[in-house]
Amino acid sequence: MKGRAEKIPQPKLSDSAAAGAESPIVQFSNVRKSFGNQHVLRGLSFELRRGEISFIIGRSGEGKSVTIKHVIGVLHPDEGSIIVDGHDLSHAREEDWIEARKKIGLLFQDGALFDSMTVGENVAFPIREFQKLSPKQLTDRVNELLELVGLPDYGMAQVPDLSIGERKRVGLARALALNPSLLLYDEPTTGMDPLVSELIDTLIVDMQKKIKGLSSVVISHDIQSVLRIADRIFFLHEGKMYLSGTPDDFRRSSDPVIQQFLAGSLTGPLGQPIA
Amino acid sequence: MIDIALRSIETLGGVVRGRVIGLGRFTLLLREIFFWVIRPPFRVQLIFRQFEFVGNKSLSIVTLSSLFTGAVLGLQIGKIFGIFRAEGLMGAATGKAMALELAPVMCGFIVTGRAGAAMAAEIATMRVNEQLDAMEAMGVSPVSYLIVPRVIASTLMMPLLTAIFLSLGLVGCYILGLIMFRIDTSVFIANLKWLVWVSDVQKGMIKSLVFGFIIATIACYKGFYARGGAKGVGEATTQAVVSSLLTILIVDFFISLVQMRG
Repeated sequence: MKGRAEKIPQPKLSDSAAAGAESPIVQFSNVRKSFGNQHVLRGLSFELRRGEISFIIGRSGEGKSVTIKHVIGVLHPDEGSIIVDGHDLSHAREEDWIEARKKIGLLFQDGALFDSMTVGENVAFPIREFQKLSPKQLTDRVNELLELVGLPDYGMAQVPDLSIGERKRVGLARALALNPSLLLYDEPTTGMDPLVSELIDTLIVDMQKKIKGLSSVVISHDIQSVLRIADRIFFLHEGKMYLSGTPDDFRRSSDPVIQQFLAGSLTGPLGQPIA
Repeated sequence: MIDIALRSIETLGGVVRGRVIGLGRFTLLLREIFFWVIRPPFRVQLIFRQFEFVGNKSLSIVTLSSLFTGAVLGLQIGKIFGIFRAEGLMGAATGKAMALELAPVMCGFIVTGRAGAAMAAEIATMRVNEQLDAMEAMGVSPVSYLIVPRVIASTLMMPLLTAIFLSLGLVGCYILGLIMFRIDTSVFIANLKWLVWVSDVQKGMIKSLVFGFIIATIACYKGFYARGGAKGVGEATTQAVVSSLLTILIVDFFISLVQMRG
């Protein structure tokens, strides 16, 4: 156990600063989080670069969702600091988080659409809450967002009538409504067939191309998808960042933990999953 | 033997711990409700939508149940009063009982079953489907958006529904008195004025205001902290109804005690 801990390479926090003049969109420094006796994050440090598609991967229960919940301020760290878009939000008040969340879009697994509203009302929801637009401006903006995700003329559709892929698209339109600088995807391809998975991947890449300055963070178990579209991959293991790099870095890695995870093998240092 | 004792203590400890956590959560939710009641944004449109949901949509069931409650109460009271040839007092006795107790409590039960259960189920469904998380992630407080309008609407609509229940209950009693006991209208009204005071109606209204607040807060609380899919939604709804009914009865007793002494 001790030997493995020594092997864990910590990310170099100066990497992104050296790579570009811009500050990272998200920076975790030595973040610790426990729930009772369960220590989920044990000194997690990493930086997510602006304008990139970053994937956070790791085994179930390694703290990927906990990490993303820290980014949107639903959870707060026991120790360490979290900087989002240049603002240190580690110990921010709820009011500051409300402001910060306006710059962050989050796409939930099944879209988490409000089923008491139409598709158009769902997309309009954050705009109505935070921007003062005339009814015509609001309609135009909603139509523009629906067109962006490939669902024009869906404004009056009812949520229960949508397919899962359509729900995700509407969820994406809603997440983009306030022009976020950071877009988070929570396991967007989980439970999808390969064709829909590829469709979602295409959507993620499209959004990245269409919206200038957007940074995307994706939590995923879908290795094919990760290796296909990620600019950078972050592998969480034992509550820490085990390895970060490009898909090629991961493919080339000879680390047995990484190799076992990528291969989906039951034998190796990660052990067998608890069924 | 020691094992059984230890297990019993552990179970009891677990139950007490659960209750304390529940009470703490409920208190925090109440604090947040009061915070958002006085703080903008004031969601007038949503409050009116809830007025319609709690008030207007409960109207038909309140109308029907009040007519029959008044009639059946009049029937029983008229039968007993008939022994003493005092059928003319049936309206007054029914009115007194309804103004002080039956109208607010029955209305509380009806609104719990119709609106409270629906509130708990809707919010619980939103919780288990991550819709509340989505709202929070967008920087919108679910308490401000969902719970406060429901609490305001339920609190303000209950006295109105209670007044309707009381009025129609008396109509039901009067119609029954006319048909079954052939009472005189002027005697019915005179006795009603003689025995049922404005203060009785006011006391009933105060109770209904409190019951309205209880129904919405308990329903929203149970929905807000629901867990575990469809089963969780069902449990939250059942718990909301049972807790609200019991709380209404217990609170009713204490308010009555205070009102009698006051």
